[in-house]
Amino acid sequence: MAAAGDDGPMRRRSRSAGWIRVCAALLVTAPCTPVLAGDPAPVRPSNSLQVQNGEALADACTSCHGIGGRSQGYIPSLAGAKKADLMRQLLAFRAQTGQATIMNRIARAYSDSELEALAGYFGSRPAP
Amino acid sequence: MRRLTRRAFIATSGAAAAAVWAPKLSAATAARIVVIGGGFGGLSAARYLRRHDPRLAITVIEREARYVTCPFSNGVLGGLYPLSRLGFGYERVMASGIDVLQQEAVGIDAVAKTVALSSGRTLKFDYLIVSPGIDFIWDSVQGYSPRAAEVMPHAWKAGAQTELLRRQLTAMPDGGLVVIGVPAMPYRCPPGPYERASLIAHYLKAQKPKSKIMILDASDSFIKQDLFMEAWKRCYPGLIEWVPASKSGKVMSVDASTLTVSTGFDDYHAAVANIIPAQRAGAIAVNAGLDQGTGYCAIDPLTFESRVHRRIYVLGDAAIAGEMPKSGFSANNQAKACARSILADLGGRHVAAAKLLNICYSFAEPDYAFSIVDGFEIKDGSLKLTFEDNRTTPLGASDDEHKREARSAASWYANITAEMFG
Repeated sequence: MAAAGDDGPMRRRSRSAGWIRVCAALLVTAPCTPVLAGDPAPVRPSNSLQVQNGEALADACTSCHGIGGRSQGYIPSLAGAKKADLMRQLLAFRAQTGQATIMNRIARAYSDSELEALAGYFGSRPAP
Repeated sequence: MRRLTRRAFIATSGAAAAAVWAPKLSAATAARIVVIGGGFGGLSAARYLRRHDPRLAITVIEREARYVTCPFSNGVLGGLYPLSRLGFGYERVMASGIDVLQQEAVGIDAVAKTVALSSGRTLKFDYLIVSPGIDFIWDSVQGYSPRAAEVMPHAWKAGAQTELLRRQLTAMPDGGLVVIGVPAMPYRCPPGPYERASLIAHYLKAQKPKSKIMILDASDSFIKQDLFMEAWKRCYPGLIEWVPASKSGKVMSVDASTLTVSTGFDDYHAAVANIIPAQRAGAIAVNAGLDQGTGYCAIDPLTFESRVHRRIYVLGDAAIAGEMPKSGFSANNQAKACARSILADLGGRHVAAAKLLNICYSFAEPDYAFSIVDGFEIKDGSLKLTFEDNRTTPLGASDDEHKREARSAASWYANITAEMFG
């Protein structure tokens, strides 16, 4: 799973925060170790419980951009693009400075770290 | 290995969102997932589960051998392409290792965890996904019925009804009146009636320019209203008239023998009458009590698990999904969140909240589309819009922008149907 592998430090931080959250939710009665070690969906250290895992976040994107970011037709493929280029573009959409059809509206729904996770995910997908 | 599954169930029978530490299922375990409905909700969930866990035993129950999408079906009415362009078979779904049974699900036993099929067979499930779409409340319009719909089609489930309405439009004389009766919310595809009016107008303008379309509406406003009004003024001046509820627009009764549509104040004699009745969750969900008598099914917005039964999930038009509209896009996004929660449950993991989107394009003309973009997140226990402002294409957009939206819509359709059927 290549998902959010590029943004290691950020991901580790959020995972440990997620651990604390989840353990607290269980009043630390359960053995709080083995199963979550490979948890692909760490919890953000805010109270919004949003996914920060790139692959999970990308579920919403692929409805338009195609499975794994490989698109048919006018909507661009994202697979194989450079993470830095994707990130620059996403930030420009959110700042309403990029040339967009609808992405300038959509990008407002995502935080910096979420955009970073998405850019990391699609950047790690094989090009079509 | 089944014992493991059961242990996992017992371990996870707390609150839906609670983290659990059940043992991971062994590689040999095949949890049984049954999906009722092979459309945007059910099939998206089934394919997502298969792509993420090849061990699962997944069965989709679908009434039709070939699925016809409601998205893009207004284009058939406008004569832009034939209905066959919107039909999909389940061959590749089956080749991916999913069982597809062309059957009707006739009953759910939530205690025995079985689904009864029209063939008399019953299917056992560990997880059940219910995504039956809508059924009509026929008596919401006096005089309307399945039989009346053969004369005054609803065309709100794509297929034979769409073709019937198209045939009526092509057969009607120039100068005829087309009536579109719009029900009260909530109903499937809120902008659908207005896109339909637009694309029928596209046909009439070219072929029968003396004709008129009258939209009789049970509401006083509608989604993307300003954008539709702008397009109608520009593309179809004088061709489309919208009558809101406050101007006695609500259709109260119809007489199929005379093609009369009545609002209680005015009677309209239509050349073609497209009557869209009020709707509720598909019968299988209602009969199983998943709607608790309300017509639609309450769900946990994190997992889409029914509020009535554990490990029974409701997706798409049948669900009460907060501010998410009843659309194919919504159902598809819900399906992935639901599938992810089932995978987490099977793995004994906590599931984090998904970020859900709904992106909906409407066509005014073949090269003229506009959109609304919604993000959703859970606030106060319900799915609410992430942002409310600037969700639609701006008014006064250029021809080029409308054209790019039309091309995006076609590309979206190709990609989402590939995710389901490809």
